Amino acid sequence: MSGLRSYIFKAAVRLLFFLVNVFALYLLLRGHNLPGGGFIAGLASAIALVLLSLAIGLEELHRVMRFDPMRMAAAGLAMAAVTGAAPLLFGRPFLEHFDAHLTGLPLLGELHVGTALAFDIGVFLVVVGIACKIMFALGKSTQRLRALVAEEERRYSAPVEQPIEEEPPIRAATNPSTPSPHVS
Amino acid sequence: MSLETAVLVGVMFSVATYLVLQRSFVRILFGFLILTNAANLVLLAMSGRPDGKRGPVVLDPSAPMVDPLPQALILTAIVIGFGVAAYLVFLLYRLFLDQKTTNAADLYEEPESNS
Amino acid sequence: MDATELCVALALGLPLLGSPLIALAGRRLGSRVGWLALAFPLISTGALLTLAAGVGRMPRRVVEWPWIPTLGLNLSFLVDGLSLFFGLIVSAMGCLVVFHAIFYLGRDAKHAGRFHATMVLFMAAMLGTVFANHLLLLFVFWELTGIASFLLIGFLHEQKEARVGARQALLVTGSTGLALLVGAVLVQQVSGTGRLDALLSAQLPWEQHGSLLTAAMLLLLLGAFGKSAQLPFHFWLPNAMTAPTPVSAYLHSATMVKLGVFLVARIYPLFVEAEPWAPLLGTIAFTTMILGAVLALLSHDLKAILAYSTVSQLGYLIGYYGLGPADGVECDYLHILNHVFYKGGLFMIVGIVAHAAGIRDIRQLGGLFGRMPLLGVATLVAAATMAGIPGTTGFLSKEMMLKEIFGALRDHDALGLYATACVALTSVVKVAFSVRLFANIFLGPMPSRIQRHFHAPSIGMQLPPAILAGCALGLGLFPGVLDAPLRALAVEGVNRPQHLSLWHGFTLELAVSSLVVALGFGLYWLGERTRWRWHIIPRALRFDLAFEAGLEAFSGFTVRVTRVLRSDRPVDYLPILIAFAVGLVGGTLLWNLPRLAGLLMPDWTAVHPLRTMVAALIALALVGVLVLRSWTAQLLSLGVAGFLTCFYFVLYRAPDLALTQILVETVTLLLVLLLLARFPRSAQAGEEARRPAPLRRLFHALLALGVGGTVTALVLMVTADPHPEPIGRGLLEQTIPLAKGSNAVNTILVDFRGFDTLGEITVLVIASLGCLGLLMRYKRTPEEYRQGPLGPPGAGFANEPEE
Repeated sequence: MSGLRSYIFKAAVRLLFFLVNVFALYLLLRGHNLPGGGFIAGLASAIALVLLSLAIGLEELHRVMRFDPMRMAAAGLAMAAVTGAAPLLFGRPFLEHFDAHLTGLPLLGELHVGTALAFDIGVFLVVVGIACKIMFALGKSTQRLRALVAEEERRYSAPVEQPIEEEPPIRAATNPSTPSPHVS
Repeated sequence: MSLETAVLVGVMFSVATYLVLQRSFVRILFGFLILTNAANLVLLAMSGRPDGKRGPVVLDPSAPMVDPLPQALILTAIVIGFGVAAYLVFLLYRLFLDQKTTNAADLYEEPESNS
Repeated sequence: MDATELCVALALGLPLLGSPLIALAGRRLGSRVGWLALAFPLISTGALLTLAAGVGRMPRRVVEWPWIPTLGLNLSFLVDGLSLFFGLIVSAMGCLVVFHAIFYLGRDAKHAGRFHATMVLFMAAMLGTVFANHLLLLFVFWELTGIASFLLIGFLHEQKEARVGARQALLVTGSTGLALLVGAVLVQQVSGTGRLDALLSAQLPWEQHGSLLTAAMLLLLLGAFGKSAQLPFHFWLPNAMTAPTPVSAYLHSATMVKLGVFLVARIYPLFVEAEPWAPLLGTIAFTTMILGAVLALLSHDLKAILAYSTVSQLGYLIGYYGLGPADGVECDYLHILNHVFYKGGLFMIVGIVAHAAGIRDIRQLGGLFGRMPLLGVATLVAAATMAGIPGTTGFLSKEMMLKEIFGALRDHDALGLYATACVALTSVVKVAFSVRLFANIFLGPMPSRIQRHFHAPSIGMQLPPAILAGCALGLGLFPGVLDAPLRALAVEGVNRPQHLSLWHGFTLELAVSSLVVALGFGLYWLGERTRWRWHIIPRALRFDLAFEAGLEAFSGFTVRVTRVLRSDRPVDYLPILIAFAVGLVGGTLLWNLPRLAGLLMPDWTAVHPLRTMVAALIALALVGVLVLRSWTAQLLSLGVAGFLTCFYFVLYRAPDLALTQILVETVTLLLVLLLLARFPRSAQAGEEARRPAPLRRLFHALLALGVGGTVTALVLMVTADPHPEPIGRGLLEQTIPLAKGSNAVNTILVDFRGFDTLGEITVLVIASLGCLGLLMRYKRTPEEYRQGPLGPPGAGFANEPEE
């Protein structure tokens, strides 16, 4: 990636990142009435993030983002599930949606909001989260960086499992211990 | 009836089947990706001929529109297909790291070929 | 709950529920759990005796609790003379055997809880079978006895013989039990009910469904033959003798193997007038009878002798029903009772002898009378009963047997003659091995090996066989005592009990009987003279070896089939799967081509030029994936095809799809690109060298074309005739009024079919978790493993391939 890190490229990508995300938000909000929606917006947003990572590097991005995309996905799933389950509290069927049409708002004029939008935002968060996580993990790993931070490694591995194979693998000459910064 | 879609789907299935039958894992992955698209197109063909119809956005209720249900199903299928493709990619990666091969022939016929 | 219901619940339900309790208590109580187990047969016996006392007033009672009402299947039990007779044998014999087993297993027995729990479970299953009032319920309990028998035969499962014997018994009785199930279902379908009380009080529709009923009868009898070890299934019983001796005494002589006899008696009124009843039962059963007797004479193992003689006697009992007249047989209860007395007793005796002397080969035994006088007397009585010496129930049974067989000689010409010959010969052989059993165990000098090993058995162990021998002797001397209970338990249409007496005068039967005894002694003498050297079972009669060989051959066959199909190698297996699918679907299409020709006819006027062009471009890009050699070039070609697909979606008026497709295609391409960048150049170069042979490639190409052609035909067919009212139209109409959104695709996703979407995003999260798990789950050396998951980095750098 080092060849791409010219200053102009970085600046252009940052602008692009901002623009794509605004566009994604627009797609998300209009999705109910025009082509768009959670999936599309989520994928667009994820691609913007990937683009940013190309510009500033995966480690830098990780430092900037400060949170695990997987948490975003989990939050989105929870949001969608809660939106679906909330009507149950009022004795209504699962996933029934409600909406309201607000008029006379300052700046926006009129606004149409519904619980369907909350559901779609959940979808959006899931798609952004998992797409980013997968891309970043594979990208880091194939660049011989540590794909996951220590806490995540503990989470995704199974320490109780038996060694898959008994015979020791053939060790390569390269030094395996590439130092890599961690953010916990 | 949409002849061109039917033929296209046939070609896609043929190519995908041939690739999936190979021993190179990369080709199997490609075959799988094509298979996902082909299945989507089969569903799309079910929505009938789109000629003279509008997209499924109700702006003018009187105009004829295409069937939205296959499209919704395909949208779901595309995203699920992405999830499965990602899993396959990781599986291949893991296989490569552990077995040091990208070919099924190595796994079954010559177990210790390039160590 | 009235008295009858209470009694049935106590007799059947209590042991069924108590069995797991015993298994649990066994851990705490150890060998003392036997005394707890003894309570269950005692309670059952008491309850059944109470029921039997009232049988004179109400010959047939039905007790019912709901079970599976949708199948019309209730826990329905039929209390009549036949079920009570068998039920009493089961429960009373259960008391004796459990008592015997407490001493037989000894104080330091391991797994006493398991043993007694299975015994009580078996007893409950037996009682359930004999009292069942529905053929399907009977089947359930019938197979439950088979399972209990399997567990008991394999009780010493550390020994290979025990496992083989248990498997044989389970396979034979289990598979013939399935025949019984089919027969039961047939009867139920033909007659409209599977309830025995209804079946017995009505006539079967022979006129309308004669052949079906005959098939049902044959299937039911097949079940009976399997359970009662009739030819050709007789081989499992001797191999089941690897079980502990109390089990053999209970299951394989007194009760379970009599289930076949019971079933024949149960369906006797239904089928006795059927054409093949007499010839079928007569031929098979009497052949089994003579074969079993001869095999018993040729055996040397104590338990094998008894097992074969049991097979022989079961043959007689079943054949007896076969030759019986339409209004019922006379002395079946007597024969069964007699057999229980001597065979149950002899099994226990043999167990005690083997226990005390440590040897089961009759050629190495002898001179035990001085050490075990009580057991010697009991054996003498039991052996005399088996041989049919006057003064025992065996004599009564044999007198009746001969009398009936002479009667059969008059009724059935050839069959009667065959039966008579078999009965006479069997009686002679039976006398011979009865004498041998007593004389060669208890008389003569005691071999020195036994003197060293001998330890005296406890009196508690010897008590049950002594009681049985006492019954045989007492009832043999005063047979009048039996008259009243047997008459009370008689069932109309099955039994016609006769007055029994010791002395019938100088009749033909007595003369034949005397001759038989004399000849039997002569045969024994002959055996002694030749030192039993000719006593080897010929290979042709070892059905068990043939069975095991067949089993081996079958498992070998499955291994070969597996190897041919190579289900462990997806590379070879996938073509088989695809070929099968293509053959099935494509073949069906071809088969019906004349009828489908109209549907498959393409509509040339509907071809859209722009769509056709895009489709052609997509196809071209895909061919590129096939033809190009470099991975990157293939990936680019694939990407082109994917982006053209977006355009195809646009042409199909699907803007949402096009947007999604273009974004997903981008992300997927990036992912694959990351992966391919990681692979070394050498890996790609190696692909070329490993291309499959041209013939195989041709086969793959043909398969691929087959799949493509089939799918094209299917799409043409399905789209030729669309549904006049697609669901989508309704969704389009409702999207604004109900979902308040004009994009129907989005309202379907988040509202109409929101549950699907919720499931979908869940799947996405699971898939990504799986990806991360795959990243972490790498091949570790033991030393890396010891360092824990945080040891080496998650990408597995240690296994770096050399580039």
